[in-house]
Amino acid sequence: MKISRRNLLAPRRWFVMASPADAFAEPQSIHFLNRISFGARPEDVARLNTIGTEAYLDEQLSPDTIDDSALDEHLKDLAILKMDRRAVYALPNNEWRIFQTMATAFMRRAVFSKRQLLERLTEFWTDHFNINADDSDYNADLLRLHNTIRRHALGKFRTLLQETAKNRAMLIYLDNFVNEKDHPNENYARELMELHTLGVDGGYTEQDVKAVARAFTGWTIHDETPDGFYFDADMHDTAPKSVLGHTLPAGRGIEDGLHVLDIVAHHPATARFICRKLAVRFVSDNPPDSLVDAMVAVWQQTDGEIKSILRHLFLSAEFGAAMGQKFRRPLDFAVGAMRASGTTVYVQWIMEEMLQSLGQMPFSWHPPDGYPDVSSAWATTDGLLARWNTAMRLTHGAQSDPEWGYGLHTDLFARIGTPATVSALVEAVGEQVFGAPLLPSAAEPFIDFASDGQGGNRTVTPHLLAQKLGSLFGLMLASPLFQWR
Amino acid sequence: MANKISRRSILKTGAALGVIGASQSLLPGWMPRVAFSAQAQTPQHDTLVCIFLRGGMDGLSMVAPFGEGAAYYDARPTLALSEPGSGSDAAINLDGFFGLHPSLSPLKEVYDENDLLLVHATGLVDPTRSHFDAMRFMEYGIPGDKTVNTGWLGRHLQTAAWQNQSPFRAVGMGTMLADSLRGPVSPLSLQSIADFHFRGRADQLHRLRQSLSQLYAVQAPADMLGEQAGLVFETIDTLKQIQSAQYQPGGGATYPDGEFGMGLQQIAQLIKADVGLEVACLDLGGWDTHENQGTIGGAFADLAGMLGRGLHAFYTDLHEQMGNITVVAMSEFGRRVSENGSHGTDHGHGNVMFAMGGGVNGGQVFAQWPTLSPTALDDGDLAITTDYRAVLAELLSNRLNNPAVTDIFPGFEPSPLGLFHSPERV
Repeated sequence: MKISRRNLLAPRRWFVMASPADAFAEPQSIHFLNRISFGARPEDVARLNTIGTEAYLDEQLSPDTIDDSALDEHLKDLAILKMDRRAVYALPNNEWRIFQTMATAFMRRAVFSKRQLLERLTEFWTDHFNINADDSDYNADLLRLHNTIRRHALGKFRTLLQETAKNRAMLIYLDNFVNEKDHPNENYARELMELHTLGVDGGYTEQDVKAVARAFTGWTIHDETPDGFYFDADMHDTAPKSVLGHTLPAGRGIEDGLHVLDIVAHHPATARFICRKLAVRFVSDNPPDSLVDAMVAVWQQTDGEIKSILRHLFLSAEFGAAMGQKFRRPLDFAVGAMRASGTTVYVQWIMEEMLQSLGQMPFSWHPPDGYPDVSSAWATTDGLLARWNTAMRLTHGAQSDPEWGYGLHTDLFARIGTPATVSALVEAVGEQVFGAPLLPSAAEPFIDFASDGQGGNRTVTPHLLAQKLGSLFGLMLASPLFQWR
Repeated sequence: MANKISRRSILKTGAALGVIGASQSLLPGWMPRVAFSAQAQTPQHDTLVCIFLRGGMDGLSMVAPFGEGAAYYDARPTLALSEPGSGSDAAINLDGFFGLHPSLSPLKEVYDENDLLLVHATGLVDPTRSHFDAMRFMEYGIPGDKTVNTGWLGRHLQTAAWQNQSPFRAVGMGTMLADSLRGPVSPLSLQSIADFHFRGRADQLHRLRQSLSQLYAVQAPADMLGEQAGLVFETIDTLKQIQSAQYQPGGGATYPDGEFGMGLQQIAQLIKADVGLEVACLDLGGWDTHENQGTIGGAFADLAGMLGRGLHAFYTDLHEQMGNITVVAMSEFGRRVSENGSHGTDHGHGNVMFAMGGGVNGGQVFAQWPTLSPTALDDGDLAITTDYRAVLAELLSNRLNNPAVTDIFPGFEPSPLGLFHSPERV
């Protein structure tokens, strides 16, 4: 008889979960909130139940209508966010300080902003138009780009594309600032088509790459202009060019590059490439063609308006069927764990250490393709252990261990009310971690842990809380159920 | 066992996503793994260390064809290395035609011992100049095919004629797993041996670990996470046995600081600990030198120095065992013959591969050299006259004892090149 390891470890009485949907009474609410935000919160579930999915979605798709002033409290100590770019560049050691500010701001926005979907999209476009910040001399411009991306994240793709093309950080990162008629540099031209628009299978040729490079000659940087961008006509190749079947006539200047942006933004392969990426981000690692097709249709109708495309996505049957199919990337995990536990990290290097161990530091991915978005990239042994340890550190460590909890602040007791029994305790902690209480069958392993095997009716004493509360939170955050959303 | 696996199943394992599949272990998790390597006092195969130089390493600077004369020097007015003996930026003479970059000087003695082989004008024959496509094709091992989702090393481990249930059979150093390892044998990803332990409330550690392992048994969908969780626990237990706070490399070797050096050192530790390691993968990235590449100073030289010192430290540290270890290093493509307008180089084609070890037929630069004359170039780039798979195919059959080369590189017909000794002849 074949003995599988699974049977050896699981007590037979425990319920084997076929799908995360089995863990909650209203799985669709949890699923929806886990995807449009960084992690379902009980108060969000309550609001969702009050106003319904469409209204909640429409709210999130119009972030300007959401009062986010509470977030400002969490960002007010980050002075660099409010400074003019030249003032920032004048600061000593500014590259490192800007990087720290950006990473900190990213984490705090993801945890505290009420405009959750906007933050999710900002993250998406930041990956899509990846620029690394940890080893570079353009960070004030990268910060500016990041904020610009946030402003246009739900708007038209063409607008976003142009903002990235002219940004000084992008011009340096992909070498276009040295792209000139006598010595063309193809790096930006290639990545513009391969990664930002058509995709590697989008049908462009090496000739197209060369022609696009020539079209962007002269798009360079300058110390004296307000935003650092400068079109240098002397560097520009004015000869005619042919790009993806379109003719760029001779004798033009900056119009060549703008024309190329129009061509690539409106190319059918671009709609497909970006819609599929959005579906991979928000639905599953291998989204159904039917969904991508429908999203492409919306793209064509709205000229690439992201909020309309997302509205279709989140109300689609394909989305509804995809619960538990996305694996939390390390940043998702860290943000989700902080939302769930209410733990804040107030020492910068502690946050960095944690994110390095998890394997995803914001703005630190060097190649232009951005952090991968499929489970096979992130479900590694080292990554898994790092999540368990981070889960314990943010909960038990923060609550009770002065050394391990250094730099962390939490108050887990304040989040659970006064549960009388272990069942009630697990229900309260589960609601904080997952957004809604676990069904009794899913709660069993946690009840077993918290009651030392004595069962859910065991009384909760202050001693039991002191012993178990931190670890119970941590165990839930470390469990498979939290890794999938 | 190898004979029964169909090609189809080798290439497309598990779900279409390239998910790291289930390992075949039927043995209880508590069984100590350290015993598994003991089956080979005289190993049947080398331990392989596979280094990927990410970004497109400039082979023409690593092993410079100074013998080309004007064709080399005219194309690289600021980036060419001077002829051997002519100053501080001179190449180190290897065979009168090729010279080694000065930053690789620690490896000259390994070359002179015939334990370092350089293969030139090699690489991925696919014309792509995209990093991501080139890396993917090279690591998956079937250029042009984007449907395959197992790596060449994953297929090697699957088709090898022996069993090895050690969780350390395939190890990827770092946080992200190399594509070449993807396959049914679950690789272990490892950042740091010293840090690889579970941490929680001290008086509940055992109970927490038990709960966690039970949770992964009941909650993990589709087995993937469950298998990973099992691997984590086995690895923690084994590493506890081999962990030593102050590892002393043999022979006074000093590994360079940084992720690459520390990665090599930890691989050396795992080899010495006899935990059943067969294949270890490690990256050294940053080679995409589009501007200000430099000769003896600058980004390229820094990386080359890290590579040279790291490999030399590894060689020295494991000196007595190098007869059963082979290290290979490759990059997704080389760089253009002519430098660009920013004192750098753009994506190219033909490149250099490294192989180091006792079983390597070293002390030579192997190349069917196409020359740098304009008519011999591939769209301005060094042509490829030796498919990289030919090098790896010989590695597989002669050093890794795996003749299933047509399953690992389907559609490729290797011919013997004499680059690796068969074990009897060492």
